[in-house]
Amino acid sequence: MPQRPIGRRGLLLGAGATLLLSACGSGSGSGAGADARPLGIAAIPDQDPELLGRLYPAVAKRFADATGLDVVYRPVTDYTAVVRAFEIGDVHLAWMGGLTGVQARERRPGSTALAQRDIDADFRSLFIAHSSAGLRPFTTMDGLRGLAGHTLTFGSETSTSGRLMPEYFMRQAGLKTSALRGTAGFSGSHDATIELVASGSFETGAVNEQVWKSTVAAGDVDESKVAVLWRTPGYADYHWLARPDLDKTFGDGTSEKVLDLLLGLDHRDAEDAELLKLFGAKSFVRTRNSAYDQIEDVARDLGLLR
Amino acid sequence: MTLRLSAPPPQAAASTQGRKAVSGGTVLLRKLSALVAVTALLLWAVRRALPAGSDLVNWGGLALLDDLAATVLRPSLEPDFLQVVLEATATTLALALLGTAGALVLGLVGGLILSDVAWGDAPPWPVRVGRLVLRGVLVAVRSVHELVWALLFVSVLGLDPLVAVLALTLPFGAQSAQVFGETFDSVPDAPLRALRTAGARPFSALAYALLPGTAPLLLSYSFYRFECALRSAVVLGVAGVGGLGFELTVSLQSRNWGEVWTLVATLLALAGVVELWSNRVRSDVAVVTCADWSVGHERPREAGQSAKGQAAKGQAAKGQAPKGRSPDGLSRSTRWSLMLVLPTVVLAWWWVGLSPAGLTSPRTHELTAQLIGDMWPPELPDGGMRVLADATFDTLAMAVLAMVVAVVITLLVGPWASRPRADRRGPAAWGRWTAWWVSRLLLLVLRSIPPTVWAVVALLALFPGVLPGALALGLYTGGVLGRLVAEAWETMDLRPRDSLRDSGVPRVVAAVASVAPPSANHLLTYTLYRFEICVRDTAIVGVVGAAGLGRLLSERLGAFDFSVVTSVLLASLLVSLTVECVGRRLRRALRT
Repeated sequence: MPQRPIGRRGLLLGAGATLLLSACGSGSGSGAGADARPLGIAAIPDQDPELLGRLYPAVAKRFADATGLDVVYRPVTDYTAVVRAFEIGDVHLAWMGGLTGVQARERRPGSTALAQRDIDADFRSLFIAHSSAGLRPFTTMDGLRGLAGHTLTFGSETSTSGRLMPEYFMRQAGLKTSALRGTAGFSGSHDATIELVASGSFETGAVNEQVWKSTVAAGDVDESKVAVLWRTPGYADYHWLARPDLDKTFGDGTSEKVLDLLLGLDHRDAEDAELLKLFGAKSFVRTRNSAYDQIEDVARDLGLLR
Repeated sequence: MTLRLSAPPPQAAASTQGRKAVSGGTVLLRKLSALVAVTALLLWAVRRALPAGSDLVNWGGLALLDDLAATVLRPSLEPDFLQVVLEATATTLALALLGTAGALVLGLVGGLILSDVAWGDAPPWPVRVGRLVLRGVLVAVRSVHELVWALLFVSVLGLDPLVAVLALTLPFGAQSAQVFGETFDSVPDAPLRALRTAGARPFSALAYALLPGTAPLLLSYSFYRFECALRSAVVLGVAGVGGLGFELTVSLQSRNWGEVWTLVATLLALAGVVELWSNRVRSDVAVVTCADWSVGHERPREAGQSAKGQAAKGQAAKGQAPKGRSPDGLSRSTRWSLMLVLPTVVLAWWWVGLSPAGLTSPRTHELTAQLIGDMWPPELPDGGMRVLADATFDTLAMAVLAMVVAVVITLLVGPWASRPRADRRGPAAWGRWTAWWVSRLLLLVLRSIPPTVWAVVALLALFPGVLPGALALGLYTGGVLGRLVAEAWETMDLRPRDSLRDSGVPRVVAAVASVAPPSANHLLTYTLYRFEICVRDTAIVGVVGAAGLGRLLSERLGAFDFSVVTSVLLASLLVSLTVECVGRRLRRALRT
């Protein structure tokens, strides 16, 4: 940028100051060393992201108290970026969905699923429809074939409950996405799916049951316009995933401490209850990688895992 | 959403003079064939966007659109949220500033390398080969959208503010290098030769001979670039560093429209202030409108005295150095702006906690090697070439239709958005000024709301496909194009009209005959420029529109299928190159 009115001396001084400052910046960075690097936590932005913004600083604080480490929440608005950040080690502990967890384990082998909510072992998706679609609720998977010829939107592309499992059940029922009217949409989030179906932009949609329940409870959806068609069978979903080097980087027992904290959360304790409520759960339970084998198979089948 | 700069290419002038004369018949033939080609393209795009037998407007969604309009009046004003917005605004400003600064450094270096004047008459062949390669690299770099750059950088740098800064710096720097190179070549090189002959060292000679002549243009461009960087910084929410882009994505994902409108109002205010300030600085350095980067300086009210007006129109600044003022001639606000640049950059640096350490760390090297390994060799998506070609054509159709929307907006609003001439008085003049304010505000609103937000709104009214994406991009591009064209129209010389009028031609006829051809020329030039950018921007609305390369890109990025990502990026590079070449030809064919 041309700096004509600034004298040469001013320019040099300014440049010097900049250099000095950046030197200080990088100096303090390297001085802190790898050991003092804060433990990064993140979450896939799949539920009400604003709620996540309130929830995770609180989670970071609880983790910090439990481990005695410096814990920071890294807000990310993109599923892929969370997996990437986990893979390269900017995030050490992440609240993953079923699919993102499997993707992250594939990209960083040795990562372990620590804990999930009580509801996650048997998680459900819902197919919802706008009243104008003229679709009636059904009770068996075969009913999905009735969606042929209607428009449908999923949630985010790599959402387990908003895309992966619904598409899997559609395949099981023999409904190809090509049988839908137009191409299937990707709304980006469960809230967006509900809004798009409520507005009639899409006749039908696949949505996370928990998000649907809380939206209905909050009175944010006009139930005369949107109705639930079908509740899918259960599958394993959200969980806390830890990098393989968590204990090595932050000291032995770090993952134990985190696990103890999560499993010890008690909904009768006021402070714990608040956190659990934000997670939409009563408690956390232990889980393991093998719980997500089905998700992994489905993901490979749908080309979401290479 | 870069505004790729916006200036008709200066080399045009040189070639006009050097070109051999063509007969009137050939010109007519060229114009006719260009017209036929454009019409065919439009028809094709419409057919592609509207498959037979499908509904167009979503009547069910229109009710929700109504609800949405009601929420505009109820933005979220909770103190907690306003605090968040304030911090996000500072972050966004800081990122835009750092991104611009980086881009300008890249642009200066790249521009010097690309310019002919810096090398003298006959650069050695390695230099020529190197420049050819550099040109190709620059085109490739800017054919990738900032958002895609950000996603790629996240893969190697992690969650680092550097991601956002680099994502702005690279494509903007590539753009600036081209503009700067052309600017350097547009000033007379006699002073440089004189200095070199007198024994000055190459670097000092360049600094003392080239910079003074080009400084006003470069300065004006730099401030304009900052405006663009601000708009682009808003779409970058992925880097984990916060900012308005992050907040907007978050509020939009959870469909909290109250917050969305608060953020949009903030964007609007920010863009308004920055543009006013930038306009002030630019008018002070004698380069007022965006058109001035290549056509030299002229203020409307000075048009009578200055003979440069019309002569400058088709002819680029070659041989006509802009009237640079002495540093002392700069107003106080400009001097202060310049003095504050460095401290502000330092402040911004500190605010976002930028550290270049990420660039040199071994982890970055390792991850870069890994990413390149993942990306190469490219692979076709499932379904092969047909899927890729389909997506490419959808992208092209979306961009074409978006430009139609943008041109319609420009034609409707643009004439009112040109600054009224000072020669009118009375109530008519007041009405005209009011119209000016209203239309400028309208254009500001259109371009300050990111296309991603427009896309979400468009999807409520239209069924998914090419069309909502085109509408969203068109509204946004209309805001940009309308402003650029209106400003170019301001510089138009009115003396031909006055002479016609004075010699008794009826007012309307005089106006149409004298003003229409140059106006159309401006419109056409900027439309072609924006079209190239539009093609790139389809990457970010493709997702909501459920069509085009953008759709494919985000899906494959989500599956970490980088080899397919590469082929999608190559396809969009191909489209960019084609559009650029065809645009160049069209401009030549239609030149008046």
